[in-house]
Amino acid sequence: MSAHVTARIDLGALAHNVRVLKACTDGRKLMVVVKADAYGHGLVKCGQAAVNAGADYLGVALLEEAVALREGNVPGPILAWLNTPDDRFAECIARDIDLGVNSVATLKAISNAAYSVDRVARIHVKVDTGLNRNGVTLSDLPELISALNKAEAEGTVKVVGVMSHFAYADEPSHSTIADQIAEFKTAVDLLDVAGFELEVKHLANSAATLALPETYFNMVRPGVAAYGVSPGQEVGMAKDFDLKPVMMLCAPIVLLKKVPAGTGVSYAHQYHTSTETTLALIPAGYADGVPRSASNQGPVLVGGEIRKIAGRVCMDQFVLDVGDLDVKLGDEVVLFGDPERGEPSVEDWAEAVGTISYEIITRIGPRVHREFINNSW
Amino acid sequence: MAIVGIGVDVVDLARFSGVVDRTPGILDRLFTKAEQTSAEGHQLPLVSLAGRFAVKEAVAKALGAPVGMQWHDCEVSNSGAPKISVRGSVAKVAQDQGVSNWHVSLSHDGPVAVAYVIAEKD
Repeated sequence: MSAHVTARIDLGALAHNVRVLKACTDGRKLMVVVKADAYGHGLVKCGQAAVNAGADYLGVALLEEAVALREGNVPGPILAWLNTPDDRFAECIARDIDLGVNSVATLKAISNAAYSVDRVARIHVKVDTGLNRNGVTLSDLPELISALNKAEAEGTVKVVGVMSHFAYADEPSHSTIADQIAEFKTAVDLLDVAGFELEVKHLANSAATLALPETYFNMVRPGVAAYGVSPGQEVGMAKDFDLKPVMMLCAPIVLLKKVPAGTGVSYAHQYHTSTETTLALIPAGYADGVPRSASNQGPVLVGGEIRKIAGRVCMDQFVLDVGDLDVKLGDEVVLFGDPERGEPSVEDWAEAVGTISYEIITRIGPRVHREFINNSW
Repeated sequence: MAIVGIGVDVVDLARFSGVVDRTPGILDRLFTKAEQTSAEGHQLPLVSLAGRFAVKEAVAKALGAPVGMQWHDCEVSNSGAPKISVRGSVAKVAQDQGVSNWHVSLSHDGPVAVAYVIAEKD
């Protein structure tokens, strides 16, 4: 019996989701976002599976994520977009990794690095159309365009893309969406008129890919949806779009003990048994990504029923009150998986602990064993 | 007299007119109202505006991508030969570099407009 928590990753479900997303965009290119260890699912395996299923591009935040994909022999276009002037670009340029640019300072660092390895860096201009986070604003765009023109003339960079991101990313009906689309179109026009040959223009995240065809341009860039998780309630349930959950988080029962009524359970006795009952110890804690705020809240499938965690979630373990359920040592409990199989969903966990689905899956800890399976859907 | 910088830029006419057709409002982003008209007050044809945009980009190259650059800060006019007047962000960078004279040459040939600019200081 292993004491490990297992994140079972269904690469077949991921491939299915990639095909679904590709089909709904009417022939546009598809960039699948695999940043943050493929949203906690395993970067290289998921990156490779996405490419095999038809993804035209992979997107990551950091250079080291892009390099890890290449070291894992994942082929095809890759974009890393969260770059700073201090990043080490030369290796990425040599490994054919496209780079997001948000400022003249970052461009200069990329241009110098490209010169040092005698290569042409492929650039996606990251435009801030209203999120007011990363990206160049339209008022700063002329200066960046001038610098890009100069760098292209010097032969160190080639502008191949333009991208932006929504402020109300998961509310496709929000009034700011139309304004951001208009800003993005202006940025496209300005880059176009300046003479850059834009291969890809990408604005649509998961929610927009599922709900807003007017945001598609010629490439979409979903992340969370590829993992079978809904980007938000307004968009709908994952199953409404035929998206299959990719991750199932499970752990074995490692101890069972009978206790009397009124027994205080786990740190600070935040749960008391109401009758004589059986407690099951599950070796999964906040160090594994089970939020401590799931204490007395997190739903778990055990013995065919969903029970809430009993008491505090600890660093390495939590307890379930399993009553007289028919369970035995070594039985697997499921924290989340596919609601179609009666398991709690990632969305259920997000709601139970007051966060968003993204945080539940991306915080699954490094010591959780990723087991890759390949169901056909 | 010394040359501070040179700049050359090519604008593809089909691409330029394609963008303007798609988004007429882009003209006001790129050009001042005065720039969009001839000395006689007529709306300039797109081929002329493409040339004026090439001048702006050539000026930016000559100055090495001016910090805070806005397209309106480099204005192109002509009564006979094209002339450059700078203000704001572009004027500041030009002043820092000691630029006192601009020389500009424009050419339209086939599918492109070409501008060549020299920034000179006394």
